[in-house]
Amino acid sequence: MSAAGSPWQQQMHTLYDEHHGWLFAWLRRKLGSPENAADLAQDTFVRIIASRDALLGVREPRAFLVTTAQRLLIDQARRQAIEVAYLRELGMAVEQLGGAPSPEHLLDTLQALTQIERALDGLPAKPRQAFLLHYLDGETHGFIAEQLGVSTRMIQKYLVQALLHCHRQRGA
Amino acid sequence: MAQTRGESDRLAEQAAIWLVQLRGDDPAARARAEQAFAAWKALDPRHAQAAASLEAVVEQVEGVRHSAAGNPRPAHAALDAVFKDARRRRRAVRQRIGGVLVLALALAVPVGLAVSEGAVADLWADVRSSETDWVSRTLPDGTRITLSGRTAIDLKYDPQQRTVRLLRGDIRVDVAKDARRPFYVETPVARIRALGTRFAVSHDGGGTGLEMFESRVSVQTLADPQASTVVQAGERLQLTRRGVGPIEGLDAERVEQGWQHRQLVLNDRPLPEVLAQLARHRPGGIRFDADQLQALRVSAVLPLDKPDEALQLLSTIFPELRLRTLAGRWVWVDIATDHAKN
Repeated sequence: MSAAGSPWQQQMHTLYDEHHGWLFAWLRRKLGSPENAADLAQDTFVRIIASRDALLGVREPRAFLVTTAQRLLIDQARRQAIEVAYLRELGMAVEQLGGAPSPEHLLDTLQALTQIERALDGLPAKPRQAFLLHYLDGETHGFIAEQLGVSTRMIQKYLVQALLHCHRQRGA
Repeated sequence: MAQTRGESDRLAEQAAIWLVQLRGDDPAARARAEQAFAAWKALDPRHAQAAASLEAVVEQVEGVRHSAAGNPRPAHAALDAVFKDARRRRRAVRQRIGGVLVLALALAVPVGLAVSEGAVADLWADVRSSETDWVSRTLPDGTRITLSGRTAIDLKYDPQQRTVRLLRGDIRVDVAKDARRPFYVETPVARIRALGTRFAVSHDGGGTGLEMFESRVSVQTLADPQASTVVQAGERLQLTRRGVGPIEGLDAERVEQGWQHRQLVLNDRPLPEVLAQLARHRPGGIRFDADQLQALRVSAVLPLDKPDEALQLLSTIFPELRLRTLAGRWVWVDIATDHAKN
């Protein structure tokens, strides 16, 4: 494979050649495990490749790589938090559910939860609670108004705000 | 036909208002909204598009509810866990800015300075190991430390003192002598000062466990920072937010050998404590209700590098234990209360 190609491709090659080894060593120190470090170093470059224009004007490539890797780590930690909490509750509910869900189904659900969490990120607590009580728990506007101590009209405002927030986050 | 950002926002907002009205409490108002919404969508393909995109948001959330046979609790708990963690992180940062000094003054000894226990906090730890790893390091002073399973520590070395902060997991330390700089292990609930050399410390949500192999340490807890307890070789004890537990005996030689052979050497330990430790060595963890299993006590040698075999062994020791596995990754352990049901 030649390094020739668009300037962006060349830039990418240079970034990889000059800093991949360094990033791997940094992550290995940070994470303690060589396998995890190798995976994460790879994912970091994949994420940068996926968002093509991000490289332009990067003056400190190593700082940039570390920031990207740390963002991935935070995503991973949030996914884990979701997984742990969901399965803990599910385990308690498994009796009533009459058998555990299939692994594929479970993975789909965990993925959907991660997306929902990301969509709700940054939304203030009350609109978020209203949104989850209504669409997840299926509670009525009146009931939620009582729970949160605001008017039914306010709940409707919260729901509109939450829907728009999710819509924008998903589009972003 | 480019759509301006402002216009698409306006359409999305209109669609959101319709969707909310469709689910109002009054049936007559719902019926009216349904008709009006249909008419609005038919008016312009861009309206229908905006509506579809917002409906997808709603469908995803409702899909998650149906995934657990209509029980929304698991999904709710999962999302709460993340948002709570985010709050805690913000709080921890604020505390670090404003609170450290106050806390340090309030306690005679600043035990466990606001160490957060969230998984996210571990990411910034100085040294970490994961489920299937054992990581051994020699620290700058020559102290040797081993991390086993899912463990995270921070190091704070300065001219006055040497501190290892155990955020979570299991460590064994072999402390190098340094008359001028005391050596501490700090956990969120306790501070352990080495007066001699070799010991192991574990920490998880349930508290801190200390096992002495050689010489002595002195222990202070956050619950009672004025009092200190001296622990000798061949002793173990449990430290929690409530204070210091009773001192128990320990077969120091065998337990320490276990560290070398990746074995968990247990003598009359409560099962939840054992499962918590095992869980840190198993990708996907182990799920159990500590209260339900508290009465069972374990004396055994378990292979930490083969956690699934360890679980099988436990189920042989306790026939009433039920192991349920999903996709080879997730395990639930509980007591089968009703055999006839299965």
